[in-house]
Amino acid sequence: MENEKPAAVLSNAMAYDYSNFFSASGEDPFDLLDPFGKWWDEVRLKGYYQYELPIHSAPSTRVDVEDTKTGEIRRGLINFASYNYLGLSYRPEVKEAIKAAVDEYGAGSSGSPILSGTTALLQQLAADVARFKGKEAAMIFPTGYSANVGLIAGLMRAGDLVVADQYAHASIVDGMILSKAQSRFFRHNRPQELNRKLKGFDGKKLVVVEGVYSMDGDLAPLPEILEVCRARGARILIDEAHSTFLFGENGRGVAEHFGLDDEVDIHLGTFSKSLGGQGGFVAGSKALIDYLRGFSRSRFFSCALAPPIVAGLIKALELVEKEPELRKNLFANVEFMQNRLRDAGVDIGDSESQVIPIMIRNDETIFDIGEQLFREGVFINPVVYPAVGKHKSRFRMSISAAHSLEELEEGAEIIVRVLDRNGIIS
Amino acid sequence: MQLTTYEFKHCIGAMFEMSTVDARKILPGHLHPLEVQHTRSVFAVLAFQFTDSEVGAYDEVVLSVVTPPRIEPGKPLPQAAFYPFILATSTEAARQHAIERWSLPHYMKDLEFSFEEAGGKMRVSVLDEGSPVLELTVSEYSFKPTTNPYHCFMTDGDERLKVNIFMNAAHSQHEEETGELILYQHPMTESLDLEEVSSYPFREEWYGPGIQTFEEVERI
Repeated sequence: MENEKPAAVLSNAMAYDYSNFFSASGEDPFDLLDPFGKWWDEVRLKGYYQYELPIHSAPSTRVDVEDTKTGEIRRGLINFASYNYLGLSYRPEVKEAIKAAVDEYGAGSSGSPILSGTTALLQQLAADVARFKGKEAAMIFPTGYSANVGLIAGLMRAGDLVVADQYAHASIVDGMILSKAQSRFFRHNRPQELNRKLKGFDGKKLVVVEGVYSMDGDLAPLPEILEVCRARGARILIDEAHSTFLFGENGRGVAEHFGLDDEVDIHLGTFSKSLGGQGGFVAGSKALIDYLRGFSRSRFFSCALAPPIVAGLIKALELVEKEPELRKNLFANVEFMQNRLRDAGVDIGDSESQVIPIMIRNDETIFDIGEQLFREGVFINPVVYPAVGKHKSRFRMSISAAHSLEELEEGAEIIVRVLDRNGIIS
Repeated sequence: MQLTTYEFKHCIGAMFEMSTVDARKILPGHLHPLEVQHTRSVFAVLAFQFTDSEVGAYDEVVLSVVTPPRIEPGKPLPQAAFYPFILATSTEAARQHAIERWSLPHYMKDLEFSFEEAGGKMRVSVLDEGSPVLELTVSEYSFKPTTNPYHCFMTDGDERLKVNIFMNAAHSQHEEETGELILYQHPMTESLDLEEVSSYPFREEWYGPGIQTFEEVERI
């Protein structure tokens, strides 16, 4: 069916955002495609081209990135965009393990984990994760996204209640929707608000928080949250996508950091960040994992994680355990950068981690500033509404253990110079 | 096309989460709520301080449920769309005008309004013979001259109506959650479960001074 109607008019394309095209009444599901396309064509050149820039090298501390506006490849940019927090994705040992697995297993798993896709490697990874996390069992998912969806929708049902932090990741929200449970959100990191949302509900309750919040870099106040959960008879899931393998004496995550590893009911993490690979996991009691094995649709209706990836993860986890200095280096780098930016008058919000939001608070000028950073030698991503609140726009900075002090200083100098030039620094 | 204009000194507004169950009860059958989160829809409160119009100066409060807009080829894509389920004004003339011209549902008494601006915040108190109806506080961010289009949906019996509205003024909006809403038990709020409406806005807007322009009512 061809759409020959003229598009809706956009007087100022930058005054609109994705949310304006989310929904509209009408008769044709394709009605929004044309106005969206016109908007996208205009805003792409004005700044949105900075998303999905092709990377032409490994996501290490320096990276080659294609400037899709000019066509050139900008080489050796200081990389503050990748989630490669421990620099493991390109370690020689990890690459060798992957190559060996390619020779033995080929490319993919060629099957659902419930049927033919569970390799011996996958079983080993699950056992290694459970042992590392100090839990009875663990289950591996093809992505962190599918781990949240599969866990929440696998456990909770219509008539139950799931209460998540308002900054919960989209995968948590989508799991809540699919579960058909009642969904509530409490004001970010406010245990009293959580208590209010749980009060008066008699059925099954699950509370979901994150160890480190991915756009603000702050930690959940886990002790206070847990106290509310116990008082209200709620189970608690902690999504440690940005904190597992990093926080805590043994790198188990924020739960270990607060000494509450055994008190948290369900632990979830991802392999795509600190381990530099792909996939996600849920760890907990054997009874929980056995149950989820039968009800996590996002797991058994997908192909299992590819064997070479699994082999790389097994090796990366081994390195995390053998090299605790990786975490020490990471947090030394984090302290350096946080101090460096704060001392220069840069607003870094409430960051307590390797995720540092460089606050700009202007949804239009951030793209111009981003372009300047990109052209002057820093690869960092602008984040605007609706990923964060209106005019809560920021550059999301990721620090890696692999960054040298020289790279951090060089990157900080560029950032401070550009922000100062644009009147951002106070 | 005949246009109707209203000059205002201030228009402040904020969006709050409300239960989708309540939103569906309020909306007519052909409209659906826009969900900001799963099972959470958007309740919008707007307060105007009009300085000039066909019916003179008056104050107004509008309670609405936010809905998806209609896509109209060749016409401006709106910033937002809403269904006002109850309004109140400070004068009878303004009330009659809005009912007759725009088919907007009104609380049929003059209410008292106070607009207090201090420290970058505007607080609007709405009273019914001295008893509070609501208090809305919105804070400013950074003002920029804009012309923003909106869709307003109404009903008149079985008729489904729509009017395009343009706000032409300096505009500030943000999501710092620094505002506040206090709703009191009152006929204007009886279709809401007050416990389910959040007390802090997820978005705050402030226009003013400027002009609000209505196009003609359309049947949809």
